Amino acid sequence: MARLADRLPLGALAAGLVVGLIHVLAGLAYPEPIARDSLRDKVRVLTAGGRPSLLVAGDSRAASQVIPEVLAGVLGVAGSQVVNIGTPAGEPAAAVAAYREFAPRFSDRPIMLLSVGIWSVNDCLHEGVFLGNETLWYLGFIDRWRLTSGAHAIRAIFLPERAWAAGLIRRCWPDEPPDPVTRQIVSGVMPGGMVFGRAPASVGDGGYVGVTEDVTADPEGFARTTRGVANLWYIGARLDGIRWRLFEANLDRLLADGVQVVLLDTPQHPAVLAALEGTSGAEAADRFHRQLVEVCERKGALLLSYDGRVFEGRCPDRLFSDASHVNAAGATLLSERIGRDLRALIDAGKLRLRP
Amino acid sequence: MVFNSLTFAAFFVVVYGLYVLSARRLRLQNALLLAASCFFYGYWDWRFLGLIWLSTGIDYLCARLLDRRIGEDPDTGLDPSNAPYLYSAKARRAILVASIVSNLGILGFFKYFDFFADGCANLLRMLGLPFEPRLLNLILPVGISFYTFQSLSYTIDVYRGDLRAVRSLMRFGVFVAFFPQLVAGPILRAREFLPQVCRPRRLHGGEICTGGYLVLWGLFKKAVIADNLALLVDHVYRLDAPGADGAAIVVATYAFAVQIYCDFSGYTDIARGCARMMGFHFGLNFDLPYLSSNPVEFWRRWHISLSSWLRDYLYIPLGGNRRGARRTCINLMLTMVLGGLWHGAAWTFVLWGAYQGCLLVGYRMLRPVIEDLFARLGPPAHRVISWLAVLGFFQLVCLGWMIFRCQSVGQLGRFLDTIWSPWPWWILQGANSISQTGVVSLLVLTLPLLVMEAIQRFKGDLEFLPRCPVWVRGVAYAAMFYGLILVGATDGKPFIYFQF
Repeated sequence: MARLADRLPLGALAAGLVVGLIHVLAGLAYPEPIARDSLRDKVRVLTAGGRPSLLVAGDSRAASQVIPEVLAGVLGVAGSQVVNIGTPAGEPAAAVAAYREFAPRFSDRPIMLLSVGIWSVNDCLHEGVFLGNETLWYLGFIDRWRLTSGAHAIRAIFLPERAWAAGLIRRCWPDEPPDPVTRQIVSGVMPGGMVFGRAPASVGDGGYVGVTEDVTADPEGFARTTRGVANLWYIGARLDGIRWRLFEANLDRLLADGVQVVLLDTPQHPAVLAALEGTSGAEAADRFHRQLVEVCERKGALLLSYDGRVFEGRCPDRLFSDASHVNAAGATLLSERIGRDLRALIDAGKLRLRP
Repeated sequence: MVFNSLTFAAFFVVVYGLYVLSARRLRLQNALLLAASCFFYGYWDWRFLGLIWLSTGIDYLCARLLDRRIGEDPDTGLDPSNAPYLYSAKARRAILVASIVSNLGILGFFKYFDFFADGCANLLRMLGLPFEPRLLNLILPVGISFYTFQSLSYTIDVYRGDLRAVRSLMRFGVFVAFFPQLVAGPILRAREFLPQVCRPRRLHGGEICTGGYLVLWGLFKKAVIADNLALLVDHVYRLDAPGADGAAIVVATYAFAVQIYCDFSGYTDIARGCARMMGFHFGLNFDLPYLSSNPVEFWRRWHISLSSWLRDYLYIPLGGNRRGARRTCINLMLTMVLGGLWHGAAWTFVLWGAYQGCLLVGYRMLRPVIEDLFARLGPPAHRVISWLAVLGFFQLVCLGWMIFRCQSVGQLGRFLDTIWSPWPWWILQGANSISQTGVVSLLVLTLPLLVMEAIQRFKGDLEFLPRCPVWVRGVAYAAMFYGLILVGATDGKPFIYFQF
């Protein structure tokens, strides 16, 4: 027995047991993904005054393209009924996580206008900023490994523990650490999100975060981001893999929770489409649109899809702040159009907006 | 390929698997180690493999020539062990000089050429002779300072007759290039390591576990403590950093003291751990150095492999303490200045070496007074005085680290000026900014190190943890693991000593 004890790495085995136990407990405490802190804080603040019935969710394009106030005006509902919880690089999984955690703060069967970008369903996009913990949480180890770096995939195994630790830190240390270094270290506990919440930007506008500048302010930057969007998001995109399957699963989750889902596909600057001409990216853009149409038909969700024609007769350079985000002027036009289309869907009985 | 990367983990798993499979076949194991070491070094930059092979070849050849005996059988290499050397003392000295010159020549060319060329040009300019040197801007081959010293010590030992030259080039290659310690030491001594290369290694469960513990603790020190403190240190010590106040500089300097210790001793622990798992034993490189109460003790505990190398191959050959007090002081200063220069081609390192030399000389001069004073006090006071001495000496060490870390002599001057003026001290000046300095990070991150070292000191055992009850080990290892997972740096930051 003593010889066996000498041969076996008992300390390592015991450590494995402790880690396993903590992993199981953390998994039980956090069976669902935790949305990034900035998003959770935004939802908390925006739902403090009522139970909104229409929420705009998704990525930065949702945050910067849909103005709740304009939408509420067109739909004829109180401003507090419409909130925008879009967040930069917010994938559908992030919106789902935030909604499920705060579901009681929304009205029953709310309408969720969910902005879905091609980047969020593209398996070939490996950059960490576009692959949030909410997405990784749902994936098995092999899928994580395929989508991201090995170290990231391994660390993602311990996301429940990280969420747990982040929660403990917040409880023990409610205020932000005063020095930037400590803040940076502690924030690393939950990568992709901050342990310490930041004041959400522009919550006074119902969560809309936009800018007034247009692309003419920085032509070089615009050209650079246009190339970046074309190369990173579209060219060589793989749209039928892990992330698309996960997107469908998240759509199912929302529909099962009684959410009236309207997918929102908003326009890119025409320069992006010009950059895609003659490349595999053009086909990817078409395919993405076809997939959205098909999944909505199959699942019973609705789709509002817009291309450049929504701004017909106007100079796009004056309406976009970069390759894929409109500015405040563009957002006003787009929000009015979305409001009218939602109104039509409500009038047709396809959607129900609770007062 | 750094230790704190997934690439190294995969590399080690594969090498270790093959190593275990080839147990009991010594030649195969050594061939595997040599191939793995070449791959490990070449992974960083394959072009410099030639350099390490050249160094290895020169020292192998020189040592073989130095050790040739009369009556040696040319076929088998067997000779009467106490037979006289084949070559005369003069010839042997020439061979040794050739080895030293070629080794130090390679090191000097890659590491110091630009430094000295620039220094000469500055000197000439001061004398009114304008001269624009042609700087080479060479990439410093990683680990060159370490393997050069290691290889050199072997030739010197053979010359002195302390060691027989190894006949197998492969075994000698393993000694020079053994991957766990190749790029940042510890600097191995041939007489301790070569016998381990030449005899079969037994893989023992307990040793493997201890090795694993050393790897885990080393990774924790590196990724959790050192790399996180680096954020704090780099923030203040950036050359273009806006003027930091006294409080920020003091906190960052303390943080650097912990960072460099955890970074370097973390590397050493990982190296020792990997080697231990393969059945090799390295000597200690760090022995609770910050618990030293004087510079002599510090250098017996800090980077032991370098300080003992400098002692055996520089200080003692210079005459050590055998030629009077004045000469001893000169020898100490020379040894420490060269030791400082070994760290890098910069005036701050030279200054740091000189500062350490001054501490040693000062301590040597004050030692009789200190010992006399100590003897007069009763035993109850000894413990208090000892701890005060440790605390006081730590401040001097930190001052040294400030010299070491500053990126230029000008920055050092500014920092010293900021800390010491205006009087009364920085707390009053920096009271408002103390909370901004990252002192919380420093305290929290240093805590595990303090706890571990306190227990190590109390138990008098640096490897006490693998001998603790299973449940203690389980909890401790799990805590280290979660430290790595939750707050461990993930960007595979290189070790500080890689640049030396």
